[in-house]
Amino acid sequence: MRCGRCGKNFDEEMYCGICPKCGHFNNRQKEYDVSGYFSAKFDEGGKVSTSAQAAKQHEQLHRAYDSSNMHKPGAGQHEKLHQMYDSFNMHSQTAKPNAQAAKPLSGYQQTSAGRQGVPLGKTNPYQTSRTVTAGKTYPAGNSGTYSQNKYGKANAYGEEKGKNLVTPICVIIAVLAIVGTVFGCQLKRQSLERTCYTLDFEQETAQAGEIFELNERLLVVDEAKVVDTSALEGMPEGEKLVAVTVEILPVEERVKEYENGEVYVSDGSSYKIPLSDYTVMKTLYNGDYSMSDDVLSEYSFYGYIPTDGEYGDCYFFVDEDAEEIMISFEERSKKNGLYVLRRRVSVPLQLEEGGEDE
Amino acid sequence: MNKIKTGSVIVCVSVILICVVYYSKYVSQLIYDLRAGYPEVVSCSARKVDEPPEGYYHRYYGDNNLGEMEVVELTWLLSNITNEQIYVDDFWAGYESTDGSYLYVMEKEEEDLAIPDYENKRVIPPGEQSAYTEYILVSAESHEIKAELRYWVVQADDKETYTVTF
Repeated sequence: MRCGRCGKNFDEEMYCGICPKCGHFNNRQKEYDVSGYFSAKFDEGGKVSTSAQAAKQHEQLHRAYDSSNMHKPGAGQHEKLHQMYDSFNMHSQTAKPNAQAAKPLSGYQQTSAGRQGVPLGKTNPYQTSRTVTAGKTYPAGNSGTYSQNKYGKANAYGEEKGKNLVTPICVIIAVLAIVGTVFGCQLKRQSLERTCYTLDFEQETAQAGEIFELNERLLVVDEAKVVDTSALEGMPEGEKLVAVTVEILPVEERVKEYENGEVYVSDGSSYKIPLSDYTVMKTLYNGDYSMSDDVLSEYSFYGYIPTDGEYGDCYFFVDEDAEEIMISFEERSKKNGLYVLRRRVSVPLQLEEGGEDE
Repeated sequence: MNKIKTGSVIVCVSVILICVVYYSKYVSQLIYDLRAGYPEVVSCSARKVDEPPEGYYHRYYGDNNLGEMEVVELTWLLSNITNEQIYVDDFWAGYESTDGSYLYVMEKEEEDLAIPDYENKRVIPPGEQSAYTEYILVSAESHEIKAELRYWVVQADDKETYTVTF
């Protein structure tokens, strides 16, 4: 046989595929009995005379012979070699404190079948301390830490070497995350669309002057007056300004849950939201913001209004021919990130001429 | 081997983080799109009028001299089938003549308004309908126009085209 590393010709059967010159293991996928080789290396000539040398040799052997078939399932050779040659300090670099528990029996008390080849004065903790399944569990002794040694290839004597379960698990998790995200997006989309496109709310009607509840507050809509804007310039064409007087009664406690809501009027052809209090102040009160308490905006009907109540006017532009309007208040609650309409209270109002421009 | 394992874990965690970020962005965009809902078109009708109503003008022709052009009053009947309040003024349509040329929409004069349109908002409450009128300039011999509505929603660029005769 010709060595694949150094090119030396040698007898494959005699050296079990291991090059006598460079030590390269010429693996031909054949199960060799390498015990003879190691026996010659350790047992003859007193090559291992000290613990330090033994440990060094052990590591060198690992480097040289830890190939893929050494730790594959059922690779009895590797385990057999450990049984024969492991001494207590073989893996001294990785020894754990619990190694004390596995302190080997002294002298030749442990000498038994299968211990041939252990150097004089050396012990084999692998044999003496191992109490569980062979080749699987090494609860004590330095050799018990072999699965964590720096070679990182072997799990335990004779166990699978280099079997990487982390990568496939990570791949599976990543694929599941992607698939889950895709499905999650679709499900969320369906759920949100169902929430958004499902109209299921209570429709109630109250009369002017009647108390009704909205966002856990009591409201009264008093009247609706037409505001004379003849002296004002820049008013929208074909529309008139209407002031709807609303009273929000005081409560003892603040609304606990934040609620959203909308308010708008209908003149029969279109729906309008109230003007902002800023616009009303600027337009009707010539920028006199001291009157702002008398003006209600759409925000006045949300759940976070003060507990002491409010009384004022909401201003809307409606069609100039309208004689009746309907003011509606909506109560919404949050669902799936959307404010879903839960209840609507509408109050029909007859428009009254308001007289003078404010 | 350890490098492969570490790399695998890093890639896996990165993929999970990307998925979480993508999901949250997708959902927030979806909620935004749904809240900025579009009304459903119930009907669309049009008729020629002698002149545009008071307060409408055109950028090129002004409000008086429309030249050879005529005015078509186009009325959309819109319905809100969502749980959200829809602002009618956000409704947008593009108009084309039958030969594919772009048609001009007259605009409201807002410069002199004390209360501009964006303050005096028209809405469609959930479950309600409302009419929306636009004035379009067409050539005198024209009797048909195409109206195209676009809906920009998540992962879709839907559009609907209506052919309106007058």
